[in-house]
Amino acid sequence: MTNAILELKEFTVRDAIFAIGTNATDCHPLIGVYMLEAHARGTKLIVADPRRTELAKHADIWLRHRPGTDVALLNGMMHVILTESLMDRDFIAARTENFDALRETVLAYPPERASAITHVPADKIAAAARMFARAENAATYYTMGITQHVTGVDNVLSVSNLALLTGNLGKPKAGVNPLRGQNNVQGACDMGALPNVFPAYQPVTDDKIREKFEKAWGVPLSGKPGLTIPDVLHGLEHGSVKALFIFGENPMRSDPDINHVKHCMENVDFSPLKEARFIVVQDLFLTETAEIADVVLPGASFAEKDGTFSNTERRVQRVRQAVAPVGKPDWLILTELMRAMGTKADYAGPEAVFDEMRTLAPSYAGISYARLEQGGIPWPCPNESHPGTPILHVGKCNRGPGLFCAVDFKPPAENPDESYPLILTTGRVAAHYHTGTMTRRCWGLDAAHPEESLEIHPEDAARLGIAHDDPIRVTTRRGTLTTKANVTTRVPVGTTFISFHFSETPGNILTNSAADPISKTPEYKVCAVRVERARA
Amino acid sequence: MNMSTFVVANPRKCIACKSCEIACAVAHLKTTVATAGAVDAPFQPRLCLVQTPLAAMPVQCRQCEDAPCAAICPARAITRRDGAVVVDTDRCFGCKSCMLACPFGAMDMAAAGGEAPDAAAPAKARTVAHKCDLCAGRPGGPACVEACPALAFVVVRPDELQKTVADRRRAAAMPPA
Repeated sequence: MTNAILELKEFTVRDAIFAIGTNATDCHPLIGVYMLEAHARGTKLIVADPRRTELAKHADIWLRHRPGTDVALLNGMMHVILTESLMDRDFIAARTENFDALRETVLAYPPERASAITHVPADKIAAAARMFARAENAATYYTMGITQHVTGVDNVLSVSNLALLTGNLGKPKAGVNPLRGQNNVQGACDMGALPNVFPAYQPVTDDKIREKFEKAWGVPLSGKPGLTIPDVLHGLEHGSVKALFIFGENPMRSDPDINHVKHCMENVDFSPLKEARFIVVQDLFLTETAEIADVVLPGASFAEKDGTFSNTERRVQRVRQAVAPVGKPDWLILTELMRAMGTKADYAGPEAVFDEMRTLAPSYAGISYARLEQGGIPWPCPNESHPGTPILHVGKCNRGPGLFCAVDFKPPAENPDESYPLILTTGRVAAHYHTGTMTRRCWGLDAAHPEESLEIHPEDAARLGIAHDDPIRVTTRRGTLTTKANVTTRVPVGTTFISFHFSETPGNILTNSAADPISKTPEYKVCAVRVERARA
Repeated sequence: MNMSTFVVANPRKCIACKSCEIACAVAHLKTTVATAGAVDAPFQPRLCLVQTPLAAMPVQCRQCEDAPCAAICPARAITRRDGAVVVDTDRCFGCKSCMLACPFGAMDMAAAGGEAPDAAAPAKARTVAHKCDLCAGRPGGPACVEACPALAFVVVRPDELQKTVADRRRAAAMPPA
């Protein structure tokens, strides 16, 4: 997030919240509550979501766009802002570059054309654009509804374009605000758990940066970016990847097209290298992925961890061990592995690891365990007297001028046809977290939401002879599962929805692994599906 | 006037997270939530989260003054106790008349003693009327109210209800500004 979560407490009648591709009331319930509270105080609430989420029900304007048409929707809104002169001319002149290219692209998306692509009425697109642009401050929040598309990067750039166009960057109650899906996924990225960067997003391809890390760690380092997850699977399938260390991740349920994932992981059929394949899984429980591993190591739960979490607003916070780990602390397992592989790794504890990291990661340099005793600190925090940075891009953007990146609409990778006539989109429910490794094992959470169902619109259900709660078969080009029909107007005509929480009916057996060419994030949010009544 | 207290939720605030259902089931367990799974305790909340196309809110007993469930009960198992309409599960024989009578759909049936840890073979347990008891005896008051992250619940006490009504009457009597 460029901005801070608690700004939502400060929104007034003059401000606007734009939630696009985020089911915040289910997936980020507290942030969802803050949004509804702001709305109750008179803050304008615009929601763009194909599904009638709880947040959408309360919106002043709900844009029910067709899954995968975010760029067209946002370009349509920007068209209205440009043609009605609602943009922030001063901000554009002083703080941005490449505006002419944006204008040229966006002018090709009058609301009528955007409407034809998105299926949102043109006057609603225009009304949303006016509401957003006329607000004193307007903040955009998004999650996987924006990123999990073959156009995920384009979608994010469009959100950024809208913020730049209206001067909603570098000030409170504004910004481009991805809500991260895990308590510490921001921290994992910050620490360089990405293929192309060292901690604090320092590129592995930069010789000076690499030298700095080689000197600190006492080992030679590769200047070649590593593999993305789809490339890892491809490598497994073709023998160029021989070992995996999977740490707190359950790709046998969380990756798209599980049948293919399983094929790659097991590499059963045509495998001269089968013996060479080696998979280690470290997790809390024997997950579906751990079941096919050669070695399983015990992970530590949040209550057993000592260290820090960096949350969605970049706030670094201490987590303190409440109970001793059943096995060993994660950091100890990792350092023992490092030593076994001949690397020096003698740390007194998590604080020593953190202190080494902050000498190498400039945005964490000023954050110490002692300071964190007084409360969390949002990075960048370059030195110990720096208070931290709750809002990014104040005065000027990190790169200098804010760059408009004009993007055109591109359709999803797989669209409905005669054989697979409906759209399937996926997401989460409030009671469950990710692949259910933890929540399906919690008595209350699992009982509150014990089984999967497919949301399908009454018109589609009627045409297929399906009644509420009927057993149904759901099939894509990649896999099939049997579940119950949840006949509801929560989804629009032609679109169905399933989660990925239930191992016995794994939604990701259906999803498409087609991915964004840059981020390699798969298109979990759109694929083509066939639904039929199953024999009871 | 002797009116009962009741709990009601505000659909303008509810996010449909079901925390109330879980908190309710936990509050009535005779064991802890940590062991409920191990002893396979049945999940028996006394309120029900309802999602409609327009909104969501949990629905539970209004503790009616002239409670239809009590009036219709042939076993006289449903009575008013300390301001709440409660079921005497020993007297109840599971005829379900109360389910038919309740205009809110707030009455349910559940395994008698299902909330106890040694509820061996709940399938064999008697099925009896099951409803909100306002968490009588719970120090923190109704568990649903306490658990709701959206602060969507209101405990409507007779004095507050009368004060609200009095305020509205005053407002209604005021000439428009």
